[in-house]
Amino acid sequence: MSAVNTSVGSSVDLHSARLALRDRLFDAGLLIRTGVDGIYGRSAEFERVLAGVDACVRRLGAGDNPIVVEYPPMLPKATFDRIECLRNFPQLCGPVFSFEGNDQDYADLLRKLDAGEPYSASLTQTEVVVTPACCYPVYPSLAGALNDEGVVYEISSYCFRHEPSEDPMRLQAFRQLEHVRVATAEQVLDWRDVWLQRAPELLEALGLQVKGDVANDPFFGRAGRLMARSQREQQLKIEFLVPVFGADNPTACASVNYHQDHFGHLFEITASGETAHSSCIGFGLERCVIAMFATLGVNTDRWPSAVRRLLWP
Amino acid sequence: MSSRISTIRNLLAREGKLAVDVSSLGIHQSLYGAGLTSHACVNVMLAIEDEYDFEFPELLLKRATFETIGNLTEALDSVLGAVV
Repeated sequence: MSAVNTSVGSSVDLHSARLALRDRLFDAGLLIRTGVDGIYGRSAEFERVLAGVDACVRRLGAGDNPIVVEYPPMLPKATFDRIECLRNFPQLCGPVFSFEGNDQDYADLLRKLDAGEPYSASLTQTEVVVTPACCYPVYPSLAGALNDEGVVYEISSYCFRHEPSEDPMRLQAFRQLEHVRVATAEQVLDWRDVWLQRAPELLEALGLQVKGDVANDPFFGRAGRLMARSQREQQLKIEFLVPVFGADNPTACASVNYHQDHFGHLFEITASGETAHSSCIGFGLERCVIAMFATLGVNTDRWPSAVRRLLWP
Repeated sequence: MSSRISTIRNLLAREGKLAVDVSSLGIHQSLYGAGLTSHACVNVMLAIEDEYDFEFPELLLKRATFETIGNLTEALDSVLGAVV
């Protein structure tokens, strides 16, 4: 059942292993093709597992009494620009464009459409972008002084990253579930230490092999390499990796990020009179679910009873 | 003061968004301690490359290179040759 979970040596093998896992998920009806890599439908069974993982993560963070909020998977362009997403990850961004022209422009648009020509030049950028990370709406909402305890948030949303891939572990549209701490540096680091323990324990309890490692975000270009090295040197991002395609090609199913006072500065948030620090723990819900199907098999009836009880107590 | 140090100070004043006056910083004082953020660091890097018409080699694209004015001067000397 776990044929995919073997070591994959060459890039050809890795390519084959990714396609094999994706085909297995398609064949089992768990994912549904749409014609675009990384954009798939999900079956009820897939969603049942995802809801179980979602509930496990929420239970794990419940003791912190988080403020639970929901936002649509859209971010104001003004927030997106201020967070510097375009500067850091232009290759991943998803600005939304729509039509704002007159009748003549509309006729021109239809002509392009019918001729199969590109029509992006007929569209205008709107005031929203598709959310790249579900915690982003939280920070602007916190401008001002926090109370002595700081805050913990729980937030979940669909996110978009423009990185089409045959790898079913790398979707373009996926759900994140995050817990976010904004407080003094000491409070934030204490909270982060707790999640550095909790997160891998949960993934292991879900039947996955997990290894924590220092990582970096995919900053663009040469300047991005300086950002990435700096992030690694300071150990600001720790990923929890699962070897779905072998130990040499593990995939992050969750990560803990310490932003220092980056968001505190950007949105003028203070804690105990100083610029607030922040950290988040994010679970890629589809990644967790697909890693479980890859590891435990596509038939949940055959999953270990301990895993089933954890998902559906 | 060598002209390179002076140029680096000018570029830091323009791009570094430091919390203190750059002229008050010794060449071995931490620029990060003076408020140099990672994004401002990238702007400083690009400004230095533009000024001297070169690209920092991969080995120097690290946090330590931009830690102090002294480190930046050494990095420039190692790539462009020391100013005699």
